Amino acid sequence: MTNGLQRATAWLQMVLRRLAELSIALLALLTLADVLGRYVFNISVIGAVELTEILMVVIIFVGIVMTTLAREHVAVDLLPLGFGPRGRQWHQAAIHLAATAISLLLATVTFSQAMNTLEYGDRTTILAIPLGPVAIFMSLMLYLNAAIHAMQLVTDLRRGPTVDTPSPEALDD
Amino acid sequence: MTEALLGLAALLALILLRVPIALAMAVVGLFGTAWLRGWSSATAMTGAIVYESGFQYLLSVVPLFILMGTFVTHAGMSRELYRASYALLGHRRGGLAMSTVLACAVFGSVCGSSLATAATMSRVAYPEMRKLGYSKALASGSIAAGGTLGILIPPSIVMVVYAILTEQSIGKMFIAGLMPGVLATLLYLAAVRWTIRRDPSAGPAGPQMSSAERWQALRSVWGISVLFGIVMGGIYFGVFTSTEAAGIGAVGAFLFALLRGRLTWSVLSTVLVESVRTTGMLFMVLIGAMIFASFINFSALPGALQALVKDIGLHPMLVMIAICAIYLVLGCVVESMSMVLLTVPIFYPLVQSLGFDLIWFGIIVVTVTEISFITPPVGMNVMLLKGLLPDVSVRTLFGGVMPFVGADIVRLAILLAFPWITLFLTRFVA
Repeated sequence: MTNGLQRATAWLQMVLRRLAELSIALLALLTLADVLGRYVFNISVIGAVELTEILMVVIIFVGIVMTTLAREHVAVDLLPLGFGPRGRQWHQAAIHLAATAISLLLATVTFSQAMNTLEYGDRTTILAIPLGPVAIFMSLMLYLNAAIHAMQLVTDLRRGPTVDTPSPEALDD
Repeated sequence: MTEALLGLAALLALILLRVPIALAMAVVGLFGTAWLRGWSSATAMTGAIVYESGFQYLLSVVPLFILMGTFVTHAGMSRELYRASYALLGHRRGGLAMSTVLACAVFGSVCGSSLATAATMSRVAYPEMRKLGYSKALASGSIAAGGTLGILIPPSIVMVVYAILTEQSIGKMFIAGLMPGVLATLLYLAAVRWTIRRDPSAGPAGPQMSSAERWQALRSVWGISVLFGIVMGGIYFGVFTSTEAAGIGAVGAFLFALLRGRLTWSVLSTVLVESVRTTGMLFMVLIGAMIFASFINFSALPGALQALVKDIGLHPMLVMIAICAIYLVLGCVVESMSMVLLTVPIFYPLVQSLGFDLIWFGIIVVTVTEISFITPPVGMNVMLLKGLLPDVSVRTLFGGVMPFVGADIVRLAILLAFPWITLFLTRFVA
């Protein structure tokens, strides 16, 4: 079962990486094409703004899931909390549990927003791209985010007590 | 008002219990709004905030500038940059530390992140300074402090976030950062001189380059100057918007890295993925902050704050000084970007009602944020360098940084006293 879970995580990470690479590269190229088109050839990319917005959704929400996977969300570990190894483990578990619950909450409110968008049949102005599916993608990513928090809860509990190391997170960039 | 204060207390407690800041802000914002307005309007509002934070054309400058910075960081040009700065300043006493500051400033002009600037320059500058017998304190301090220039000298991610929160023009914000950036660099150079005057052995002079060598060193950094010139020149003369400039900058930085032969497929993939992840991390905090900000707005705290200041009848400048003092204290304990996201929605209506310019306030906020990068106990640049330079103790690091903190305080006072330094150039933005 652990093996299956690991394989699933590896596969998920691969898919997310490809999505991330593709979306941000497209965003840069799209902006370039739009500017060059406008100033050099006097034609602009039709619907560039809409496409940019949709690419942004992919970048942001894939990015959020990847940050969770890498355990890189900004947290302040300034005060020593004075728990023993056992206490630290429970503290860690409580944080993961809280993170799971909050992510689930965010995912759910976004999902109901997405359902509204789908129901109204909102589309972008120029290219008439339906916005419902994009909103559903957002909420799916947030559900995935909650699932990853839950998974980290389980892994940490299984691993047993750990030492209290100041985390290097948020120092990535 | 009471609700807002309770909310702030709850938020602080969650943050100290190490709940990720973004989630802490989101949950306090959501429940706080539910308390004030009922559950269904709180969930509707939160859903709308998450949804709308995705579809923001303007915010696409964030991933694009992050991408540009990450490409430049991976292009491995810190050595040339350092050599070029050395060509100008290296033969003076304390010259290597001054070169470090200058190289950081130039690097910051194409990279919007203080941590990336400090990390990149530490690899080259620290060994060079130590080789010449520089004290650990001055060597590490000049890198930690020089790195903070990354968020002041445009393009800067913190400025983009501030401009979005306060609905100011990102382009104007960037232009406003130019003069304070120059001022900051000069004051840091002065801080190096002051350190050397107190302890001449801390930073001996390096050998002077021949004029041919010097010329060659200066010529090798043309790429970065062109990149900065296109991006900032384009914004200044109104050739393109900040979003377009960010796109051009990102592609330009890609070409730059490619021409330097630094791009393999795996590096390219790393750069792209790293940029997306940094964007995701930032937006999670941004979404959390916006949910929290809407709760703060419902709670009428900003209005109450304005009324309070009016009642006491404080001089506007005293209020500004008080706000700066709050930032300096807060900056010691809260991570920098979160500090901006958390406080700006509370303070900016007050600052605006006192008749101050919000672009100017933005530069003040960036300046105090810079200071928070190097003040104990959680100066992020210092923590970063602690990781990168294991032989330097935290005490030495903070000691080395102190003259630069002094220079920062002087700069803050100058910027507060003379707003035209900040605003002068913005008048000509096309």
